[in-house]
Amino acid sequence: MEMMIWNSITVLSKVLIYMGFAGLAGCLFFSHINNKNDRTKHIEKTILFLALIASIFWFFAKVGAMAEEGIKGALDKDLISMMWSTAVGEVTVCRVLSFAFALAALFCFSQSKWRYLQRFILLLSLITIAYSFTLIGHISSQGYLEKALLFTHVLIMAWWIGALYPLQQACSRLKTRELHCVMAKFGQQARFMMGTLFIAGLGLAYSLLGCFESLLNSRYGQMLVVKLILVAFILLLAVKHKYRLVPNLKRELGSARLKHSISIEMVIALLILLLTAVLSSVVGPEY
Amino acid sequence: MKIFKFTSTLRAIGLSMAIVVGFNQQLLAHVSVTDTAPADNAMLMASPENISLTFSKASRIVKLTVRNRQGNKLETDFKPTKQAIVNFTLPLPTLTPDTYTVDVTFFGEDGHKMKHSFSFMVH
Repeated sequence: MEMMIWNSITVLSKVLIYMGFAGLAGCLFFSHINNKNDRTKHIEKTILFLALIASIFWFFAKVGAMAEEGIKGALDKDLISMMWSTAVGEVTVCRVLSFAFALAALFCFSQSKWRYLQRFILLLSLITIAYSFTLIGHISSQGYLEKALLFTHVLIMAWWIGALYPLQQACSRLKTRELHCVMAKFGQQARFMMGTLFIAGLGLAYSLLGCFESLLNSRYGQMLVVKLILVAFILLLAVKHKYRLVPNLKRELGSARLKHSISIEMVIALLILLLTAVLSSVVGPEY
Repeated sequence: MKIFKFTSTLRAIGLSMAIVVGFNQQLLAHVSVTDTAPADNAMLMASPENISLTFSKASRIVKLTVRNRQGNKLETDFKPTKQAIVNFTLPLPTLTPDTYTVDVTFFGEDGHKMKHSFSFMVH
């Protein structure tokens, strides 16, 4: 029972960290779409703040799960110091500092004269968090190639998922012609990104599972198949956007259906993040 | 245009194959216990003086318990190891004839929690 609680806290913290990471990518690459919208900015800051808190909770959940002695175990000074000296501590430092600096940049450098400094800090934070994923988990014990693939994979995932909320908001704020330009540009970038994401994902899956049989016979493999099915759904929606809903914008047919479709994409993206958190915390490829 | 797309697809497939072939399929290695003394399922004619553990990589031990067949925990001088070590030895009190189970919780530099268990009998 106790392990179930610690595992649940770990998984939920991870989902918030992933959302914060994607939100950070959204701030960096897509803030210009809704740059006059205060509500969007407020939500971006809230997500980053939650991700910062979740990074701290994640560390204490790891300590608590190690001790298996309730809250007292999670706050054990000796165990905290032991865990702090491992990759878990390094990852926590990377993430807490990155989210804190990103928040500070959003609050302090929002004026246009500071825009470059703000973007530089956001980019540095994004890269540091992407790097933190390579320090822990099953890829951390592997070579530079696998780490480079994971780094690329998480960065593109953040870019993709981070784009969804700004694009969904843009559907109700931008004029259809403007929205068409934004969506068409996003579609062009997405084509290259999806190809890279596919190659990196294929490499990572092979490096973790080793053979096709493990994909079907192990619990990790089966959950990975579910994740791939969800990714396939999102890709189908992306195809629908590209060939039906975005061309409709050009003919001034309204953006309500596109907004609805992006909202569905956001729900699927959340499920993918949840599944990824479970795969990387509770189910390992070695089981 | 179609030729361009076909060439791009071929390039993508080629790159995927190169990356997949390039992997050296290392073991997904967390730390593990590679050796224990007494060995698992050992039958001893006298009480062992120590318990010794050897790890595959430097590890920190969080918990170590020794229980008899009834599940009663033995008093030992175990304290969590703050420094990462490969070999660990714990002195034992004199054990009466019984079957004993040792449970160890430890982690390596990756901070991943690992558990190991082994038993031995004292005649």
